[in-house]
Amino acid sequence: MDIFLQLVINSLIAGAIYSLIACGFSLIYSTNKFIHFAHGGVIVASSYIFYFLFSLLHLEFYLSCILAVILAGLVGYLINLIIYEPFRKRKASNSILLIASLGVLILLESFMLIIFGANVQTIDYIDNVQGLSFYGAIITPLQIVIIISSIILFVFFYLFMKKTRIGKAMRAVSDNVEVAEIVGISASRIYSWSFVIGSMVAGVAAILISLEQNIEPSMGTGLMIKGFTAAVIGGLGSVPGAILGAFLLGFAENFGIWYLPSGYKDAIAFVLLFLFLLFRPNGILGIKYNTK
Amino acid sequence: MLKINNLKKHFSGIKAVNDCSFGVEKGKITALIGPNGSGKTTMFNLICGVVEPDDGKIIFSTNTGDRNIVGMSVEKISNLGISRLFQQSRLFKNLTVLENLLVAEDNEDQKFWKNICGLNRFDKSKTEKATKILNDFGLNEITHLTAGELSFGQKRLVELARNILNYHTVLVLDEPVAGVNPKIRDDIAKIILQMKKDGETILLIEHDMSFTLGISDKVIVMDAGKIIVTGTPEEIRNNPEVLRIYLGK
Repeated sequence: MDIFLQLVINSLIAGAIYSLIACGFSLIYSTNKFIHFAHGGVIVASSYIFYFLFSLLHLEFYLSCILAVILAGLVGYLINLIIYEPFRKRKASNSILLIASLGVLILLESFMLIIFGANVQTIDYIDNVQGLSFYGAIITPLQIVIIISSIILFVFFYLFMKKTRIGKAMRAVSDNVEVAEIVGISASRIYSWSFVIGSMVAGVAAILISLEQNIEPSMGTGLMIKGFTAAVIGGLGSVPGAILGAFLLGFAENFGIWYLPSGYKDAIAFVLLFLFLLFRPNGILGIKYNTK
Repeated sequence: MLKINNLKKHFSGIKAVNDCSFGVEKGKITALIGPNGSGKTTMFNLICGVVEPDDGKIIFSTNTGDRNIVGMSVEKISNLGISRLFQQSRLFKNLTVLENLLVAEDNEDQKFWKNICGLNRFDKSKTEKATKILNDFGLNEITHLTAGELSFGQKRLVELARNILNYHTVLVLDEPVAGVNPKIRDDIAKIILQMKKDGETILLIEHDMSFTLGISDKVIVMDAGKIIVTGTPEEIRNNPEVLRIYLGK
């Protein structure tokens, strides 16, 4: 029972982190209709921005968090403006944008490597805190913060997409960009905002990851694979699907290593990814899109 | 209101629109007719900025004077005042009927910080205006449904309502009654005639000849990318060239 409960808690924590990655990724995919792998690079950049502000500049914790999230949005905005927008103007296909996104992912990870070095870095904000016992399972205060932050962000995200006008305009562009433009919505502006918002969510994920584990320049690729897998399971382009997929992935990984050696954790994610791509490519809540 | 001057568009050697010129007068219904493949929809795509012409000008009268809209983006042309109804129904499937109308009503959707701070709600008067149009169109029972749940005829009416609500000085309607049942066809005819009475400027494509000739002030006949005849509905009805194109006589 203790192990079972511990695995449930671990699954929820993993799911919360994956869902923050998948959520922003899915939002960007749903409006832009291409796979933005550089989202992983935005997470790495945001982690190091947070590390720089908090651990090196010694800014106040909450100020560092706010600045890191804003700067994450700025990084996303600039990637779209400098890299993707010129490609779109040249009518580049989604495959070209995907390849460009892989290039940007490598570029951002390499930048962090040059600036901060290859050593892992640790942000010691909440250290040596006694974990709380819950029916024999242990959960740390930080892990509780991760779960609560994710829930708050999902509610905010849901309200933003459902209730605000920009959210509705994003859903319109996601549905049919040609018609959205015909009714006067600027698709290029909506693309920009989706990058800003998606990257700000990635910024929140980056802060929580930085507090929970060590950071290193190459971690973006691994995190992006988890976020991408979660998005595929839930259905590419569906934000609720991405959240569902992230928690399913978290549970599959953590319960999988109950029976398998822990080294197989990543393999479980890949197997799930392959299975969904082969047998249910639209995912659980996915939408069929006509992509170029 | 709208002047098309020597417009040309070729697709891989096919002259889809070949040196066409015509005008759309304010407060009148101008119809563009012709057999399939005559270049009517390409002409609409050129006017709305969906495709760019190889040559020619499209002069549009705006509040700030006449402007050549060639090369402008689709949304800019829309915001200048050209509102288009597509040949195939194209509503936002994941938005409700009311939301479909509201996103088209103005250009306030993209003001990011106002949205984030919750200050950019739909103006009550705008929601009322959208609701009124839906009531007038007999769609008041379905405002909460998503567009994906509607019948073809309902979609057509919602789309027409969206076009009317979208800021415009010219309405560009591509086959508004294609594929709808006779009841909805009559409803749409009444709506268009009411708009004409209200002084709306309309450019129309329609295959239904009796419908088109019954409501238009001016008819332009296209064939193989060229304008072959322009005249009143009566002149068009008796024109031997038009009869030849349509009936092969």
